[in-house]
Amino acid sequence: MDASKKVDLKIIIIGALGVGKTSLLHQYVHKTFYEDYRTTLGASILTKVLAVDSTPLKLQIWDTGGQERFRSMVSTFYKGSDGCMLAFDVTDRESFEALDNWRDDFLEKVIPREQDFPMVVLGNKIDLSDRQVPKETASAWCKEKDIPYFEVSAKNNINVAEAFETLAKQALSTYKGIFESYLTDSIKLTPNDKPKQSCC
Amino acid sequence: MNIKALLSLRRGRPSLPQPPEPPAAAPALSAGGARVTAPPKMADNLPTEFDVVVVGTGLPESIIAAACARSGQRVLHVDSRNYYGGNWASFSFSGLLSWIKENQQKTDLSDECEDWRKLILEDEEAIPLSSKDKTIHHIEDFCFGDQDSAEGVEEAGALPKLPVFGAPAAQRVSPGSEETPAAERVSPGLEKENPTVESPGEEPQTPEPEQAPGTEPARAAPGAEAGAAPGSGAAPSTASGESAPEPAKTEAAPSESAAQEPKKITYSQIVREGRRFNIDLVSKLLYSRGLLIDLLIKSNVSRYAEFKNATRVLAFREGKVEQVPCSRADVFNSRQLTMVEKRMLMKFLTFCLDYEQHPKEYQDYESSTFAQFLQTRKLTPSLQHFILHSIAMVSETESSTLQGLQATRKFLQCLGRYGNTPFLFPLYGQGEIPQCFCRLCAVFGGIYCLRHAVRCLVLDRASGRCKAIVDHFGQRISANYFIVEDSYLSESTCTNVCYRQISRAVLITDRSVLNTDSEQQVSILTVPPLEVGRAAVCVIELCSSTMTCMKDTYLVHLTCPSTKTAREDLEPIVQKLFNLNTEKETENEELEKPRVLWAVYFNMRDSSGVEKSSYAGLPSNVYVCSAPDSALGNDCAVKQAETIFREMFPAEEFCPPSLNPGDIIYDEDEIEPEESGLNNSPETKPESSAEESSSGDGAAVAKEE
Repeated sequence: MDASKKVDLKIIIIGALGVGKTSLLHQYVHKTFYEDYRTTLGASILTKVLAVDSTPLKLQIWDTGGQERFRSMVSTFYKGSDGCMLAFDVTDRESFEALDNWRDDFLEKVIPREQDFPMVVLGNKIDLSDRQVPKETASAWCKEKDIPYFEVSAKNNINVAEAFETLAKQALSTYKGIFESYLTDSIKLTPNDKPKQSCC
Repeated sequence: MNIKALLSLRRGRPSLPQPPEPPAAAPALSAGGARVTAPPKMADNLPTEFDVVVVGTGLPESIIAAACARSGQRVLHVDSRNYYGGNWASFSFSGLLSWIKENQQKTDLSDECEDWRKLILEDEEAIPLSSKDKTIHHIEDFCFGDQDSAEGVEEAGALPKLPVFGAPAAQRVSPGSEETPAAERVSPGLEKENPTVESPGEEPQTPEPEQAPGTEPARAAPGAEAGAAPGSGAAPSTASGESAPEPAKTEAAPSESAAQEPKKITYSQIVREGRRFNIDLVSKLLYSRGLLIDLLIKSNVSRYAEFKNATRVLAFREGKVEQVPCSRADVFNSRQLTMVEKRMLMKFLTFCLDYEQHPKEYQDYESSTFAQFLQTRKLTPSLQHFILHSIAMVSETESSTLQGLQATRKFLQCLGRYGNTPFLFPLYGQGEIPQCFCRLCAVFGGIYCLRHAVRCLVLDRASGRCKAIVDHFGQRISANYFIVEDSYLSESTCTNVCYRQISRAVLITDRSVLNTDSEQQVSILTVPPLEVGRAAVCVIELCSSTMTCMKDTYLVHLTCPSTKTAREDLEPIVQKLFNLNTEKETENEELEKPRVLWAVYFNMRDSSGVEKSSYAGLPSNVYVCSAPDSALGNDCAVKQAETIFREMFPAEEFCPPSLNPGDIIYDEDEIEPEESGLNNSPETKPESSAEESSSGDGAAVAKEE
């Protein structure tokens, strides 16, 4: 793999409504946090450029757009994803229990791979005191599925970067494993492309 | 300037629909920190008031939904099905089989409950909507491989589900579980069937029909999976052994050397690799300078999708498939055309490009057909064929000279923008496009509910306007505007509507119709009518790198306006281009042609071009969106969406670029308030300048501490 070529990875973040997915994204990409809750503020895809093992990466992180509210995610959201971040709220037991569904849903929608699909679980809002999901419980669930678990706080920026970077590493190594060369020459439409001369 | 200030700049957006407070909510001020508003729980109730309700998630209505949300309207977008796109959708192989089955069943829902009538008040009237889709007919599917061999073969699922924490193992059955009982699969360290441990040097076994319980499914199919670079097979399998037996995986390199012959794909492999297929119900391409591409770029919806070039334009002449040179480079490099022909063709195409400047050349032929005009132009018969059928793609008998010239010019103008042909194809299929617009709508606050049927429209008697819908939960939802896709309307509403039909076929084949050095081609072939009175057939052949079919197969779509049933319209063309025989019985000649592994034919109702007035009794604030039309491009859908949007909101801009605050900011100090100067916004920089930190989509520079 050519180290000088930036690798584009698509990461998606899923989980119940209100667990803090968008906040986690904003914390990671923009180092900002908003106290007031709004359903996904129009954030759709955020990009983070970073280097993992001296490979430059461009993480394209897709937020749900709020479509998880009634379990109506477009399949476009899942297509071509290289890694998945499962998030729940440690002060909301239901959101933890829903993880199984979210994980299954995801696995059902992606093209199966021989290796485990890169995934991490984030237990968010550890800054709050009214916790409902003990760390041990969440860890055990994750251990069983062999998924790394991170206790995080988007608000206080605890462990957020670590979680994303771990996922990025996993996604990168899997990506290198199944690199399908013909996929790299797809066309991305941008507003400023200069129309070439017509051929005649 | 900070993000909050930027947010307030968002165009025309009134306050976001605030999620309803859950009953128990009290802004909690606890020692650990304050939460201002409690977020809604998962089992949230749907709000009952919106500005616009959109029923159906096909392309035109999804564009409208996006445009509405973008301009600040509160949008509810529903679909009765559990998938997006309606008749614009695309399916995995198993998904398509389900769709076929569903549409072949003639279930009669006439005894449906009409409880919702109780919700209609005295001063109101109801217009019932249809509960059963009636737009697909004459579905016939055929398997040319050994279908029995696929008995018991299941689609390769992703990782097997491990038991729900605390639940006994036996309960969980993974979708991918071949034949082995659940309990067996769950135990970690199930080494025997784990293909990931194999080294890449392994020779693939000849594919056999896999099934019988207990058969080792793993090795195999050269056609399966992989594309994996050598070395992938050696990737350490996850130690826990939980990456269980994925059938038919790996086997990378050997398969590539395995042959120049077509890989022998079996039906059971297709089933197993079913998720690699994305089979569109509608077969279209995007013109590089068409309305849809322009809209995708303008609205930034393009960031949700990627595209491949259509690489070849083909023609079918005298029983053979040939490549049509269309660009200047193609013409010069063509080995089929003589020098004289090359000059003739270039001269004619150059004229077409700005034909209006040379009226003398064609004004005598304005009342002739384009075909007749071509005959006068010093072009060989084969060139005339190429131009008429593969470049202009107009009717030999029906199209006028001007129509032909316009069509030719459109084709030529689209050349070179992205590639050697005028066309692009979306990665993962046409079914992605409506979803991309839905996503934009969601991102701007649109609420999405699949599996949500609507029982009726509720009209206010006095004003005659529609004020609400009643959904299948008996919930009234009010709005000012309603967009309804044609197939949701009842038969009585559509009594006077004259529908056309589209004949469609989808084939899975093992080889391209035209073999050249590169296998990864996306080709469009127009087959002229085989008989007078029939329509030309548009054939689009997709290779696996479009992510619509598994490796070593091709997905072939055929489309034409219907004359008869789809099979009657299209099978003759299929027979000319492909080999439909099962393996044993092929003649020599047939061996040249690609083999069809599986096929489906169906007729789809075409409600495009229907005047709104044809629908009986619809109020002025209810708009109807059409199903897909039979044209190659998407202009019809885009035009309809824009027309409807402008009728509803004449003062609003249609899908302006979305200034997504998250995308713009990459360094707080550099933000300028007037980033509405969109061309200067970093997000519009070309993707190719990937080295710049400000490229593309919100490149937040990694400010590593």
